Amino acid sequence: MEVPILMEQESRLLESLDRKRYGEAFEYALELYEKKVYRLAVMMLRDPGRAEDATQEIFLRVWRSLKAYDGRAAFSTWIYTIARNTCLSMVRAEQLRRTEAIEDTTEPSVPAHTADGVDLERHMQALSDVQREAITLFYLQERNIDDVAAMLDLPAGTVKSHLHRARKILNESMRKP
Amino acid sequence: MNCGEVKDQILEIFDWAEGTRAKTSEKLMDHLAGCVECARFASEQSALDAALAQALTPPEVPVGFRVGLRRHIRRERISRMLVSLPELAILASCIAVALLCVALLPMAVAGEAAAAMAAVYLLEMAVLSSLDEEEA
Repeated sequence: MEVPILMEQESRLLESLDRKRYGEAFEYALELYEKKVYRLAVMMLRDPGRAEDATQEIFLRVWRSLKAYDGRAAFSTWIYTIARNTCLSMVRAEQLRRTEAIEDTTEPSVPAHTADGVDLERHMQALSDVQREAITLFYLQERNIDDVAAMLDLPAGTVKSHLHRARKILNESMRKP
Repeated sequence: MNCGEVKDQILEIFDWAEGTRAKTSEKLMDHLAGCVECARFASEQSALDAALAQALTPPEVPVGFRVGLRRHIRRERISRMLVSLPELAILASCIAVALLCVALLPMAVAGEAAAAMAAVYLLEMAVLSSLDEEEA
């Protein structure tokens, strides 16, 4: 079972932090959150290459500030806050750069068409930002609502209602010719 | 169960992990068997879920990611060490002065106080001037 292994690693991470073994704690953090943080970055930056750079920067920040983690918030909340802030800075920097450049070369986060020819990119435009983020993260994070909630800093119930509304809107949008 | 409750439950099912989706209730299945509208909704939601899962396949972390990260960390460690080198030099000088004082103290007791004091004075001046240079 994957969940008990993850919980065990999380408790080892916190134990290492308690004992001020920061190198060890960093290795556990990398093991636990590397994939999730990378997928969050892919969702926010819509470009796997930039998402890799962002994930490196996020983990560098984590490495620098592990000593400052005081345990007031859950470790996942702390790391996702660093991840979101880093990605937002990159998004803003990119927007600033784009105001000077003519072309927009950013790849879409959702492929334009699925194998069945469904134009998902167009249907996703009918969603609000938070609905689009919730549904994208839900699939990118392998249907883990608790992770999506922690990443968006929302209660799990709110994420569920965003998902339900998003599904209804997408369904209605797809029914239209 | 009315149609509204059934549709809510159908939406709920798509939040579950794939392995647990078979646990749909008998009541729901009975309703779907007799209600065309809800059966259509369930089938559309199922198609939508499949399309989203296909379009949003979780990406894997690139292979060289950890190597790159560790290289960045190593570089940062080295630059941190270089920044703290002058402070280490000052600390080492202070320790050297203290050790010399301990070594010269017996000379002072033997009546060569002036020479010992001069030696300590010179060392102190050397340390102070190096501190001044650091601040400048």
